[in-house]
Amino acid sequence: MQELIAHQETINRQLARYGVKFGIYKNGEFKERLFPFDPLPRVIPAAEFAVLDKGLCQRVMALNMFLKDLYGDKKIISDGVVPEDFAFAGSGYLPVCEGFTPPKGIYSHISGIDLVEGRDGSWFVLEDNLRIPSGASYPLIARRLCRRCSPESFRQHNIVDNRNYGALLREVMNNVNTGGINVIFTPGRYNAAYFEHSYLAELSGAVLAESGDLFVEDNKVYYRSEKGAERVGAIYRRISDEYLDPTTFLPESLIGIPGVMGAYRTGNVAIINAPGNGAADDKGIYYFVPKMVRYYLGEEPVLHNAPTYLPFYKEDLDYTLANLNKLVVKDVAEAGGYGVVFGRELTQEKLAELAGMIKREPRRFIAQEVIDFKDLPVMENGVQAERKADLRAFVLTGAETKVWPSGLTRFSREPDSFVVNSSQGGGFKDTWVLSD
Amino acid sequence: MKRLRFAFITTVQYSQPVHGHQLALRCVPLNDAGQHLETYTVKIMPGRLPAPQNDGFGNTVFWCSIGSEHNVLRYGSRGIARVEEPGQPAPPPNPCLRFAGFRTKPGKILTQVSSAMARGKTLAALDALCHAVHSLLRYQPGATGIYTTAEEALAGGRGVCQDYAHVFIALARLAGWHARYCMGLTVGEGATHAWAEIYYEGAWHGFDPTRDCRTDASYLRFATGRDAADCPVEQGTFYGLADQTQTVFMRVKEI
Repeated sequence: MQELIAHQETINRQLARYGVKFGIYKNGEFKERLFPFDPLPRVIPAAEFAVLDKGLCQRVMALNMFLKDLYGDKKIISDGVVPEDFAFAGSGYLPVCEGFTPPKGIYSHISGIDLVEGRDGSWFVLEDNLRIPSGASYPLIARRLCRRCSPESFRQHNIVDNRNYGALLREVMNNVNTGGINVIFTPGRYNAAYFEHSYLAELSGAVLAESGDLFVEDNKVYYRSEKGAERVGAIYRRISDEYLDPTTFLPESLIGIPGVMGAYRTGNVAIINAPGNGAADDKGIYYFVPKMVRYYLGEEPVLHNAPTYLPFYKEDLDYTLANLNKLVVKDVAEAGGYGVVFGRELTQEKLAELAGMIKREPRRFIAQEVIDFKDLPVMENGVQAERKADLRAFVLTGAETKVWPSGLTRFSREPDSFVVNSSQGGGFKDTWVLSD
Repeated sequence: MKRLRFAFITTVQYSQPVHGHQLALRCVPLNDAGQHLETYTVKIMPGRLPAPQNDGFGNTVFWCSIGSEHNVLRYGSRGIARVEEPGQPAPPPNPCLRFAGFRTKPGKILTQVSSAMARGKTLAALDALCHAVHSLLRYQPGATGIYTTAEEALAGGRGVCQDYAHVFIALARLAGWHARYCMGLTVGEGATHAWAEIYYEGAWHGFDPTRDCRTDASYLRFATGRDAADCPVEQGTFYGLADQTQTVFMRVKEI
């Protein structure tokens, strides 16, 4: 471990050289900045990971079944488990995905599930990311650099090898490929996660393509290669639904693939993750995920949600308003740590304002108990300090659903902050899963 | 029931050649509960017409590709449709039709207007709403654009059929109805028309707030959705710096 700490500077310098960056919005301005790496890994013992593995697979399987049901028979709605107000009113629900099943019936091929560990050692799911969860490349490259700096650290500990991510990704793409090459589609090098796009293309053997490299003809997608037009069978797209196809979504999008939805609905290409997944990962639908596990799988959820209240229900609204000063309130339409308010940080006046907003638009918010999560040690200017941290686990669904034995551990750089999102300026660590 | 002979042809002229054209077309009447297409032809020039697809609302969509350079684009359909009077039994609506679309999201004004209106789950209440919307807006082409929202149209007090339909739909949904936007043709209009339908007791009932009346068998639906954003006749992109001039020829006649 001392070896790794000694190499903190070297590793961060190399990360910078590789262009491992993240974009953040601050005061309305977009700035790219480095994603600081902390050398002390999060260590997850084998027995603990086995529980996570089971719970995460269960959760992602239920979410995939929910999406298939939602865009198909809608049984969970007619059975009264999920109200229409949470499934169909949000912008994540896309009618153009109705009456159509994507290749192999898979919607969320790559799921990023955010968890925190409580002080008592139990894990809570904070958020499901089923659209384009990013971050797998950061622990991947960091592990590579750490291995190079301190090979002994990896010989002395029984750490599960995480270098199979590229192979897992290839398997996921091949599984749904409708005939043709695999492509990772990026909005381009100005995107905050461009490093990740290019790195994952390298590791998975997929072609990295930008707008203009792909075109649609007669509802088939082609890649313009030096050899001529090559048929594309699977697109791991790293742009959001609304920019994906100007013939179907935002007509002004210049970074999409015009006509791709026609090819998709014809069954000529797989889109990873499926468009329309936003209907299953907003902060409102989150409340219902444990119910989905029971409904679709007939099992008790292995992983728990953070205690959550939906002001949409009268009882929860009353509780929320009465306890606003100790809850955390989240705007369901926002992501990346935006729109998150801790009641205890607000003045009386601001609290009243928030209460008014919740009363006016109860569907727009969720309230959660603040979880007292476990601090992890980080090196701050050569001294060990404690910081809040979460874990983004990556769950990949190909022929089977598998959890990648690693993950992205993000930590807050401010001593008192609970917000760890990289878009809010956090740092990251490697995540070691032990083999015994 | 009416038998309607229809023709709908759009011609787009480009000031310079364009290429790499991708477009989604909704240019054929629907074939569903209450409306049956007896015979029809559909064409696009230049290019080839692909197999028809469905956009999730049950609308017929052609996702077309025209790679080669062209100065003119022409598409449309003609044929004979049998249209029933509104109120025919129809399958349950997509639940999303109870919630706002992109251009029908209520703001302050719609919410205010809605709260001042009488509620009632009856067709008579909807007739009253239709009449109210008709009097809230003044018909004025050019005052609004295709991206104008219901809230903006109501704030300006002016608009065209799309805006009337949007305001009606937004208010109907605030009152708890499943409402859908209809784009299509009707007798006596020189362009595509827009109106609204409400799902009531197992059937769709049509309201035309522009004309302040119920719809009848002379209204031919081409597409339905949450609002106009779900029902464009044409949406797409091309390469080229060209100005476009669009002319629409349409005719609907009872036979």
